[in-house]
Amino acid sequence: MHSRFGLARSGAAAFSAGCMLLFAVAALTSTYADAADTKNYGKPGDPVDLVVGYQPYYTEAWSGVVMRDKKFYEKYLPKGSNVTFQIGLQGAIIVNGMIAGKVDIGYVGDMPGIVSTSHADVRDIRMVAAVGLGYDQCNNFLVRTDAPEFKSPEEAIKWLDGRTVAVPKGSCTDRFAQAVFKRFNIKPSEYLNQSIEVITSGFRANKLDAAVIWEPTASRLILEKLARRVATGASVNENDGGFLVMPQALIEQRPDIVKGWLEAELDAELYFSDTKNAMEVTGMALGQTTGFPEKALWMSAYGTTPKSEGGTDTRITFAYAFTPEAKALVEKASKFLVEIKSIKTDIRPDAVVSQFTADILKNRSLNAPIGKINALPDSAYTGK
Amino acid sequence: MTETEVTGLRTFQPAESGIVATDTPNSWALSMHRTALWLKSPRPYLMLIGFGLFLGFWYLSVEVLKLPRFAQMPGPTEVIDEWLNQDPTYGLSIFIPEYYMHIWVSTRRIAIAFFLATVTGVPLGLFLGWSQRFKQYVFPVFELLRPIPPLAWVPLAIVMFRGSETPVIFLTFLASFYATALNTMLGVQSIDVSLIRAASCLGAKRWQIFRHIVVPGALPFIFTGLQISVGVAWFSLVAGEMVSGQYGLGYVINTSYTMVRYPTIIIGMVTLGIVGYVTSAAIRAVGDYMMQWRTRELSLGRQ
Amino acid sequence: MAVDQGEAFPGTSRTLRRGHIRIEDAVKIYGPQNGGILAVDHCTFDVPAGEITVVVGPSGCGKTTLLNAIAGFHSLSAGAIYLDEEVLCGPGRLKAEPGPDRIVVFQNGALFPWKTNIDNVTFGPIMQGTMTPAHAYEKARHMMADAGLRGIENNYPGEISSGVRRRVEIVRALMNDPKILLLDEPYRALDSLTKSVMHEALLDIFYRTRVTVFFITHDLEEAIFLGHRVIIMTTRPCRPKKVLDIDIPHPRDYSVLTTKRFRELMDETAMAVHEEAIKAFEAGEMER
Repeated sequence: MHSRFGLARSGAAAFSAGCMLLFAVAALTSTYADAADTKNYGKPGDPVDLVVGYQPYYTEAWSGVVMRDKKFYEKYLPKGSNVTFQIGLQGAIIVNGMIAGKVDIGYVGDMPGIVSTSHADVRDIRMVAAVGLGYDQCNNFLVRTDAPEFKSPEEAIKWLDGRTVAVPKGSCTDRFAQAVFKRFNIKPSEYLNQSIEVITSGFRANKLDAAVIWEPTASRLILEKLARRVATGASVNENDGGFLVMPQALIEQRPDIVKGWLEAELDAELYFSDTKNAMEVTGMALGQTTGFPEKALWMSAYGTTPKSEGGTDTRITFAYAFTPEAKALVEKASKFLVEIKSIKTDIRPDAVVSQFTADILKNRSLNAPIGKINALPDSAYTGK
Repeated sequence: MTETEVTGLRTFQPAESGIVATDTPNSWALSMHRTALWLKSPRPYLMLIGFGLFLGFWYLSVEVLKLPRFAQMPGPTEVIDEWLNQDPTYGLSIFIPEYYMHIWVSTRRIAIAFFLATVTGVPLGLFLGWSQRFKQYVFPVFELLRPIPPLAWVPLAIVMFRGSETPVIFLTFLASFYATALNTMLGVQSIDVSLIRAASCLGAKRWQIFRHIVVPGALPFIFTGLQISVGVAWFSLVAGEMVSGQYGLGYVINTSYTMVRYPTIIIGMVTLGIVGYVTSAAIRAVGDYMMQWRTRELSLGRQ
Repeated sequence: MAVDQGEAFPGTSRTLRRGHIRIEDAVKIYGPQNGGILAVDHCTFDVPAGEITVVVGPSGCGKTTLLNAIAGFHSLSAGAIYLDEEVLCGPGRLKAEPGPDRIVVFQNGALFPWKTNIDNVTFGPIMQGTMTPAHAYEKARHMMADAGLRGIENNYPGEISSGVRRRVEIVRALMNDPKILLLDEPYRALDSLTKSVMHEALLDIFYRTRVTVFFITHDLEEAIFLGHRVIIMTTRPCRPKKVLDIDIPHPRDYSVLTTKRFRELMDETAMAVHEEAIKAFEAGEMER
């Protein structure tokens, strides 16, 4: 009869299930006892350990690159503080890290920045500074090299109707692409979500008609003759921006750290905006990235693009504080994200914390925007 | 019991040696019988208890107790609420037609990749097991390539294959192919050498031995390999669909990550699990049917 | 030794005797020729046609090696084996080819589990193309019925008991009209009750077909009961230690076991077998 064995086996099964459950609960409760929600950053004046997610593969947020190399924060953070820099290939990765409580400070594009503030039920994250605004940093339309020659950026954009377009979804380029498609009433035959590596391979293998991609990848693809730039945000008057985000827990518990970091951030942006440092900053970026030619990195921040391809005179404007331009971008972007159902509701007013940057500028007698990078001629590039 | 003229010895009827009755039930009746037995056994209820425990643990840890690393996760109520919502927050639920599009696209990719993996992997495995010389040439290369994960093949796949569907199928095909080929080879090697010797005694030529002994003899291992293979195909699908960029359960999971849509990630995962389970069970069923001799042996062996 | 003609079996016409095996000075070394394991050491003996010859010896002594050499599964290192005066294997061709003239019945059974019993039985002729399928199946049904196996034709080997499986295997072999049946401890895995029935069944088949039988066992009682001739092998490396002609008349049945002659023969040989068994034990023989 199997009943005897059957009972024994079902008993064994229930017993092992129970054991697993107990073990799991024990393992979890004995781990590093975070409070369920908030991280403890210590008292004002205490040294801190900070994890900074930044993007050397996103030129608009290169103040983070400068920060890592120049270590301006050492001057302003309490002695004994530790700062670890983690590279994020995309803003979304850094945002996920922050929501998980593993990253404390994030350099992200506008779309991931706004999205990060919309999960307050899991973790309350706020925008504390604008690290760069532009018209062709994030918003670059690239097409395959054998696409026809377009007489104007608008013509190029209209050509995308019924074609295969790729963007890394959830990034500033996603927002830009969808906004432009809506405005021009364009429907691509395929709107693909691909990472920048897959897009690069796609152009190489001639599988994509177009992609919207941020600097410095845009310049790299162009330099390597894998794609051509045909339009930018300048062509359609859509700007883009990079932002600094932090968890509310850090802001509440350690305003001294927030202030310290933002002081350092101001130094970094001032350094970056000074074009005398162009080659040095390019060198920093070169050291913190792999696979990018030095020239592509330089072009991404300082190079000149013909106006017919959407080139602008000002490559990056360093708003630093939430200038009207910065605020307008956040509002506009937020509304659009609600429309395309990326976020549930419009960005809440307290998600933008402008106090710290305003105060710091006042103390230093500076006005926002604190600087800008104007496009340099090719002759200004003195590298390989 | 009859006496023969020649020997004066008794002739031996099967009933004397004590074997099964002459009218054995057919396969359908046997399957029904086994299903009925299964329902009467504790097993289905333990299965439900298992799922219940898992869901209960998830619910407790995330929503009730809010345990340290768990509180940030979406809880079962949030996920189920989204999944069964007519107007889901993040745009994916059972009421959205796109959901079934994702399932269909992924299933189709799995079906094609699995089919290709089977028709290439099984013959390759059979030859690797059967021919020493073939194995000497091919196996080292095979084993060298096998540990390379699908993710590492992504850039090559994009460049090597036309279009955007083929690279995905290739990436899904890879791990599946290796699992099938390897298990098939082991299946051939597992065949009792006496069977092969018996066949050659009986005058079978080498190709006849291959067809009548090696192929059926390896079937149990082949089907084990196929079940593993389809599971591995589902794993690889998530990596593969990174390349495709549009539609598919792997795509849902990847995109939900970059769009920071946690409940949708779980919905993608659960759906993938369910569909994967169904495909695995389907293969098991086919295997049971094709290996009648084994099914019967097993069902008569158990009570 | 001269070929033993044996006695014509009363009641049958004299059938053509075939299947005479002569093993001459066989040597088998496993592993390298110098320093490997010597399994068979200059072994010479005869297996008369139309008779049951049983080889008895301790486990691992090399008797299976001889059977495998006859069957064509292994090669010899030296020496020769003749079948009906023709060379099976010898100098220049140390390995015979397996074939339907010498069919093996294996220790653990070798029916193909995925074929029905009757498909198994018809396997040989169909593979060789010597019969049409219709003819083969008809003959198979007859032979199975004759062997008392009617009714299980469409079952799978896994559905019948191991004793019955052996009988099916023997019928499968006999379908091919082999010259010699090679049985490698076929009843080793069976319990003693089934074994006794198997013995009588085997004799039954033998009396009807008069196929030469070469039987290996370690069971002395089985050997004397079945065999016309019993060859007792030494422990490894094996050679014939004692050859016995069993003069108990055929046909035999189990009542033979209690006769005086049987007991005498057991006494004669038990000592020899036991000696070898002890040597084997002390040498720590491994099961093959």
